Amino acid sequence: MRRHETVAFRVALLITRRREDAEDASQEAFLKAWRALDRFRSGAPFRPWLLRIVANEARNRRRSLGRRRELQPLEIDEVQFEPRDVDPMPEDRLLSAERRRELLLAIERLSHDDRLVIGLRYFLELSEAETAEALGVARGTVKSRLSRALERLRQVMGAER
Amino acid sequence: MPRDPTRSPGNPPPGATGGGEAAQSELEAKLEAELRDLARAVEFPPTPPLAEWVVSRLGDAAAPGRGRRIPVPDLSRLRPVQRGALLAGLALLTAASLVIAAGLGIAGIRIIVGDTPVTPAAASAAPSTPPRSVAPTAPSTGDRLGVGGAVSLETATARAGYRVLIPDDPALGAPDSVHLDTEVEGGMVSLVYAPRPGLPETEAGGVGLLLSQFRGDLNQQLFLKVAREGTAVLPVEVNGGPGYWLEGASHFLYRAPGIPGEAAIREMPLRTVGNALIWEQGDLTIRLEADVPLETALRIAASMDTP
Repeated sequence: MRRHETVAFRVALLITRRREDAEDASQEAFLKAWRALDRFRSGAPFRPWLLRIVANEARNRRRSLGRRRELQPLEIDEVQFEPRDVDPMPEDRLLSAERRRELLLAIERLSHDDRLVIGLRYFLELSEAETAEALGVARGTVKSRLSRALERLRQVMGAER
Repeated sequence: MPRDPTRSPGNPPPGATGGGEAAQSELEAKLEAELRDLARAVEFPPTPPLAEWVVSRLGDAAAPGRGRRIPVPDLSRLRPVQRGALLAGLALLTAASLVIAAGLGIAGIRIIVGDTPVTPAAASAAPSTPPRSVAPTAPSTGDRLGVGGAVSLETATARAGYRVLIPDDPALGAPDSVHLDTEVEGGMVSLVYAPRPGLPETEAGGVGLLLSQFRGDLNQQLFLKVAREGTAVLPVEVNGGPGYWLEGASHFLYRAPGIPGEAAIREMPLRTVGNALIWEQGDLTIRLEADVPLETALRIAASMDTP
C-alpha cells in the first residue's frame, strides 16, 4: 500500500515542485478519491484513476499558488533532487556522478511540461496509460510529448558541451 | 557498444522523420538509457503518511456518539466485479489497521489490531452450557462456536432482553439451531444454519451461516481482533446503520470477562467461520458470518431490517 502513497506523492511533487504543496495536494486527492470510490467504474485499473485525481489536485494548487513567485529555471532552494552516491561498479555503462549531475541540471533547464513528462516516465516509471492520466491527455499525446522533450533535452546537453 | 545504424533501438521515437532518423534514434536510445540510470539515483523527499491523514480527516467528520461512523460512499449496491476492484482500492487508500486503530468501531465490539491471530483453543467451553449427556467426545455446535447452549427459538426470544431479529430470506429458511449465551448482558442469541444451496460449508464444519445478536449498548467486553495483513476491512452501511465487512477471515472475536482489576485480557476466542458482516441496528449489534460474498451477506441482512 505504501508504494501507492509514494507514487501519488511524487506525481504531486513533480507537478507542484514544492514539497509542502505536494503533501497538501496528495492528501486532498486521497480524500477525494475515497469519497469518489462509488463512482469508480471497475474494469479500469485503479492506479491511473487515482493518479488522475492526484494530478488534478496538484495542478489546481499550482495554478492558484504558483503565480505568487516566479519559478527560476534552476530551483536550488526548492525541492532538490540529490543523486545518491551509488557504489561504483566496474561497468562502463554506469554514469559517473558528474554525468548524472549534468543530466539533472539539464533537465531542470527544460520547460515545466518537458520536465514533467520526463519525470513521470523515467523517474517514476509510470506506464503510458498512467502518464496520460496524470497529464490529462490521450496516450498518443504522451508519446509525442516525450519525444519532443527528449529532443529538447538533447539540445540542452549538446549546447553545454 | 557497436554502432549499427540498421538495428532499431528498444524505444524508437514515434514521429521522427528524415534521413538522420536512425542516428537520431540511436542518440535518443542512449539518452533514455542515461535517464533510466539517473532515475535509480534520484532521491525524493519522504512520502507523508497519506492513509493515516485520510483516516484522521474522516474521523473528524464522523458523527459523535455511540459508534462513530466513517462517512463512506454506499458501496453495497455494486456488482461483485466492482466490489473486488474497490476492496483493492480501499486497501490502497486506507489500510485496514489504520481504519480500525482510529477507533471507529461498532457499539459493543472493540476492534483491535494484532499481528497474528491467536489459534482458538479446541472446543473452548462456553460457560453457560450445561453438561451434555450425548456423545461426550463430540463437542456440541454451541461449544465449538462458543455461542452457548442450544435452546428453542421460543426460549431465546423470551429470555433475550430485546426483540430478536430473524432473517426473512426464502433461500435461507429457518435456522437449524438456536443458541443463547447468558454471559453477555441482555443475552446473545445465535442462529446457526447448516450448509445449504448458496451457503457453502465453512471452516467450522457443519455450519453454513452463523448469526449472532446482542445489545451493543450494554456490552463492553467483546473484542474483535483483526490481523494486520491479509484481512480486507470495508466500512459499509447496513439497514441504515454503520457496519464493517471483513474478508479474508484473519479475524477472531474474543470475550474478555469484565473482572475489575484484571490486568490481562483473558482471551476466550469465539470461533469465526468465514467472512463477517458486523453492524449496528437500533440497540443491537449483529454479527453475520459465512463463506459468502458481500452481496449475499447484505441480502440476508436486509431481510432483517426493521421498518
